[in-house]
Amino acid sequence: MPQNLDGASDYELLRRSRSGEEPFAVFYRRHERLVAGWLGRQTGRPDLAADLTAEVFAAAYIAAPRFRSGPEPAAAWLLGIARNKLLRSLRNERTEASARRRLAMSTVQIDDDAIAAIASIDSSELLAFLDDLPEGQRDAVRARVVEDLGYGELAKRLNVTEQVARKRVSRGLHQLRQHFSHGGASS
Amino acid sequence: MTTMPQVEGALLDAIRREQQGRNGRQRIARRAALALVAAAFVGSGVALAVGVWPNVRSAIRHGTQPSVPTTAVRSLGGPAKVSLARFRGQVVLISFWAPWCAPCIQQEPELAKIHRELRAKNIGTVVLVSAESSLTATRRMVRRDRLSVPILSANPTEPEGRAFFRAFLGSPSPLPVTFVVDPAGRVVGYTEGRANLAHLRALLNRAER
Repeated sequence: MPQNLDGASDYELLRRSRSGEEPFAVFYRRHERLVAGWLGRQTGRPDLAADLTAEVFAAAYIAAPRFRSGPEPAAAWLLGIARNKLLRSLRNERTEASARRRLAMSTVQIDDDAIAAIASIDSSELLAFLDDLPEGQRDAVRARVVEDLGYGELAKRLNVTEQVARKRVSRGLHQLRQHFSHGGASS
Repeated sequence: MTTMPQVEGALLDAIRREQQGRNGRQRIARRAALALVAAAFVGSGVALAVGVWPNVRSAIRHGTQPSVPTTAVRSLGGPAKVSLARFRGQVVLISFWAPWCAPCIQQEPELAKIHRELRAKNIGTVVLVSAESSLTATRRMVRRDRLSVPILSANPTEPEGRAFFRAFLGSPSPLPVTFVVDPAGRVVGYTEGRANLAHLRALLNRAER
């Protein structure tokens, strides 16, 4: 039976991802540009970003039952996976494909249109999911989630104590979660 | 509208194949598990009666509200052995569960929510009863899913585990099966398979009255 899942929260989509392909399809469409755009910006290579985007979502599907509805929004969770996949690819000097192998996913040929589309995703769109946050929280979440800064370094950068830095990240993530759970994600 | 329809297509193809394969494997595992439980019961020779009916499920099917069985079974994280008599005075939702049972795992968030509500009103609790023979597998699942409700073990390789399971369900049964007990210790109803929430809440309301 067709289901209207567009308004479902990320947690709900991931929770239902093993019961059919549609929940994960909606999740993929909701976050594809964020992941592809972030990888494109990190690597400077849209073709590699496309390849790694497929790997990130294959890994996310495998890990979906372990995703818990907590303070971290799914977008941040996905960027965490993307960061790990990228670091492992750089370390091994080979594009990560373990999740795609595990899912027996076929190799995908990315056409020029898709590559151009990834290259055209700009930073403002990429980090649009942070726009709703107050400035202090936005800087904290961006540094912590997108740049993977430790709390010690983050506190120095923001010129606050580590406890305050943690609180800002925590509040920011909480607000983002509210935002995403009310269908505010880009599609 | 996606930026990379090729990636989406390949991903969804792979997911479809993976789900078809997993469903097949789960069917086989479920049959094997039921066969094991059946064999354990046949060998046990344990007979418990709930009034004139052989088990709770049968008694409810015949329109009665039997007393909850009080066989003590192993508890995870609490006293070594626990009887359901310990929960007398509370509304208790008892769900028979196993780590290899997909619908059991799917309904965990809903049961956790009900548990929080019952605790918040200070009127009851959810209790999960594992039908898994390996305590290690049960503990792993409890950790993985961060389950914070009382967990009992109806281990089919132990006599009291078999007796407990049999007192509620009689014959081997697909899981989950979920019972609701009122504060007087009477079982007011049950659901089989993934719980219909509306039905479950109606049973809880009945138990609270």
